[in-house]
Amino acid sequence: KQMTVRDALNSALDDELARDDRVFILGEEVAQYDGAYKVSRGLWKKYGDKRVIDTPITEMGFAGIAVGAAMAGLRPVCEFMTWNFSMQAIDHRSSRRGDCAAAGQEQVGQDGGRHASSSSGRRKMKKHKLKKLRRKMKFEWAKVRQRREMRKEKAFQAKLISQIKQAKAFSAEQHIINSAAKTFYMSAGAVNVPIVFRGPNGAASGVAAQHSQCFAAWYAHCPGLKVLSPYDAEDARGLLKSAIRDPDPVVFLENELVYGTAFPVADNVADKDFLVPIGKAKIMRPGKDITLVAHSKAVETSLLAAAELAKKGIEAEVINLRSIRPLDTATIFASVRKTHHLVTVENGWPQHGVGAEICARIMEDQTFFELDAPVWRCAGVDVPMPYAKTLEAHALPRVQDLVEATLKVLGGKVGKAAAANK
Amino acid sequence: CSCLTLENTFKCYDLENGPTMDVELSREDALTMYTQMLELRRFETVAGNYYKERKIRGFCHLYNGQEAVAVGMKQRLRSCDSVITAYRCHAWTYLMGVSLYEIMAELFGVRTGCSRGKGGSMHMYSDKFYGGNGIVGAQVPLGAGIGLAHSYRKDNGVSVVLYGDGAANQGQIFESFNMAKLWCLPCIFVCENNHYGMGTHVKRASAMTEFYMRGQYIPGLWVDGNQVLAVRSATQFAVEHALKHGPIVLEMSTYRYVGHSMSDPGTSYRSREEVQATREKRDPITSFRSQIIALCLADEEELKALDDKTRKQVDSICKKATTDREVELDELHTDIYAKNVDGKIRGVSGFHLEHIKLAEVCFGKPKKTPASEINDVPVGAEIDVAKAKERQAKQDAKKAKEAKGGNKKGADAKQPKGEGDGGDKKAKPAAQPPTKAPPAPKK
Repeated sequence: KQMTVRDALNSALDDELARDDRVFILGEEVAQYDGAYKVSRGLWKKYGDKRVIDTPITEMGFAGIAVGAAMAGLRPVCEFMTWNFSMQAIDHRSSRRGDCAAAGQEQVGQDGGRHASSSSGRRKMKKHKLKKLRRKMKFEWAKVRQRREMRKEKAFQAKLISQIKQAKAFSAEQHIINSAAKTFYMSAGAVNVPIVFRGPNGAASGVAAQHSQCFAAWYAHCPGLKVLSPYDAEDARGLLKSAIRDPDPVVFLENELVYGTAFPVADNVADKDFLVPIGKAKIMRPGKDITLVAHSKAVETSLLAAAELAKKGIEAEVINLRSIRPLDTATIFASVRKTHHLVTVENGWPQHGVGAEICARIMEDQTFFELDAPVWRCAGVDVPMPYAKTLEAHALPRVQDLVEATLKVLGGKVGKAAAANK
Repeated sequence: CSCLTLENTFKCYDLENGPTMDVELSREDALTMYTQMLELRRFETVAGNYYKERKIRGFCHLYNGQEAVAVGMKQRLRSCDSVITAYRCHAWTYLMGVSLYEIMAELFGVRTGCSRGKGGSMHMYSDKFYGGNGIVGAQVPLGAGIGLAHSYRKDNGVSVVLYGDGAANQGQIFESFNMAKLWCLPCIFVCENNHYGMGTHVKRASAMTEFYMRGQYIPGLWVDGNQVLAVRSATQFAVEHALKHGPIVLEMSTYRYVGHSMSDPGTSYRSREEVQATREKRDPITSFRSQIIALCLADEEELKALDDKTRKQVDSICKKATTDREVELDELHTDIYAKNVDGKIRGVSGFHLEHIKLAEVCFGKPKKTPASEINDVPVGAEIDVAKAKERQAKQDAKKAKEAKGGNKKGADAKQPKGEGDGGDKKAKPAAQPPTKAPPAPKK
């Protein structure tokens, strides 16, 4: 039996809309257009305007509205046309605040310095000379004075502004994080926010930097959120249903490139109550020589690499993370204890990324001593996503990159592993 | 009951009829509103003093001078209506049912605080009250969402969304206006115009200062926000309008006597004379007081007695809150998720904290996340464990059958257990459920 990821998501939404009348979908083009990626196809016809709501193209506004509705007891599924647009709703960060404060201080410093030097120079002159100088420099000095005052005023304003900015820390807007993720804690558990934000995440093809980036690490950074990243149809269906039923805010990161891919699925996947547990990784392919940990599209790369490695006599174990936060470290650790080697794979950027977190977790655990070689990260190249086809292809980890990395990590053991297999 | 006619209190935008100018006022209502305003004024003053003593930390935004807005509106809101406001939220928290004791306790960060010392001045919640929000303007889309929930459930409720004149220039407000009007949500957008966004006068911040017109396609109403009766009348009108025709914008013209927050003395951008003049001419409490006396609803002496009584009461309540114990350290890792999936929460160095769940005891009344919702979603290894148990049970049953007639206890005892509380350690009922009780004397 086969199922595409798109159908998996669609049927999951359908099931949950039918199961619970508090569930509704809201987002850009989800209703009459049938969804920008056709994920919500047919749902508007079936459930009508009340349950499937088209919004204007104002992410900050409708993300907030969805959170508000969740606070008041509904269970919205908020679709972003792509996660890149969620930047509108979490973004406008604090960088400007820092700049202002720094600029203010600098000006104050300069001002003080100049003032001191000019007054001491003047005192040494004789009276008539001073008079002359005064006459000559009258306007000059007036200008200087005026400028100084203006600078002072500016510094004061900058200080005030920086205070404002501090007061409103991250003044602009972070609905997802500030409104959704922190409310339960801040209200001491009085207000929970059962909401799902979903949409395609990560690199699509040929859409360049503004539309291609992975938000897994961004969101996984925040306590209070749950971050899921499905790979195949089974993941997509089971995890989305779990996410909608979950009482906490969930960020659901899909991948546009696999929407149309059909995956073989077991019979029970189509069940009305088929659920995939949140916070549990899946071993996609068992192996004993090295562990590859990946999520979303990178799982595919890892599986292909594992097949390639098998030709060389290396058995790689591939783990599909499914949840980024909470992270199923138990499965990873167990695997590493078996294989003693680890490579993390992700399509996002490397710095402070998912792979980095896994490395850190291993370092902090007994499992560290099980490693026979350093953990290696395979991640997207640390550049904004380029447009041209070849550049784009090289900006993400490819099968051969993975194979190379794996061989490097295994080092001298490659021969031994192959020999052992024979 | 007495009748009076309001003057110079409303300006309409895109409305055929404004609210009624002839209002009735009963003695009971008058005294309730008067007391509430007194309590709030005193409470904020006391809070300000404690702040100066450094007993209250962080930000603390006081409501002095704007009391009439909250008190007047609350008078005409029904129990099914929800409220969400900005960070200047002490007054609304009190009016929405949290006691002054709990609010003060929250400011001190002690365990009896209404958010258990985890929210502070800007983050307090109650039933149908979705909090102060520390982000300027962020509450407006949230409030529109609450309006959406009301119309979705058809529960006849109205969502009141308050924001200041500073926030009125935020982009997301216009996004919310647009969607609220588009979907005809029962929302009352209330712009509390105290004329200064922090230290910036409205004229220096807004190209158009008639905030009641800024909904453009949404009808608006300008109200003298320092007259509690005008506010009350306008609210009545707005609720009816919102239920019938969708959103409406109210501009409450008011004034704050104190600085933006405690760190702002409030004197660099305006003159003391200006503040003093408003205090004398337009103070909501004094003017209401003279109205009460003019209508012969109460006499001078009675009100004076009431003043003293309230003052003492509030002082003693606030004082009592100082003596409470600070929040336990355990609370640091409590209620991060409604349903925790991570085994442990990471401490400063290492995963050693247990996620604790206390949510059930909030607001003094049990507010349980229904078990069905908690158990709906399988968590972590639970499924595998359950399956393994099932398998085990089946095997045992087989063995028992094979043994024939042997005792079947083994099979019975090892039936799969469906329970599992998701890694959450239910905390011991936290000494006593906070709230509701505190104002009562405790010896």
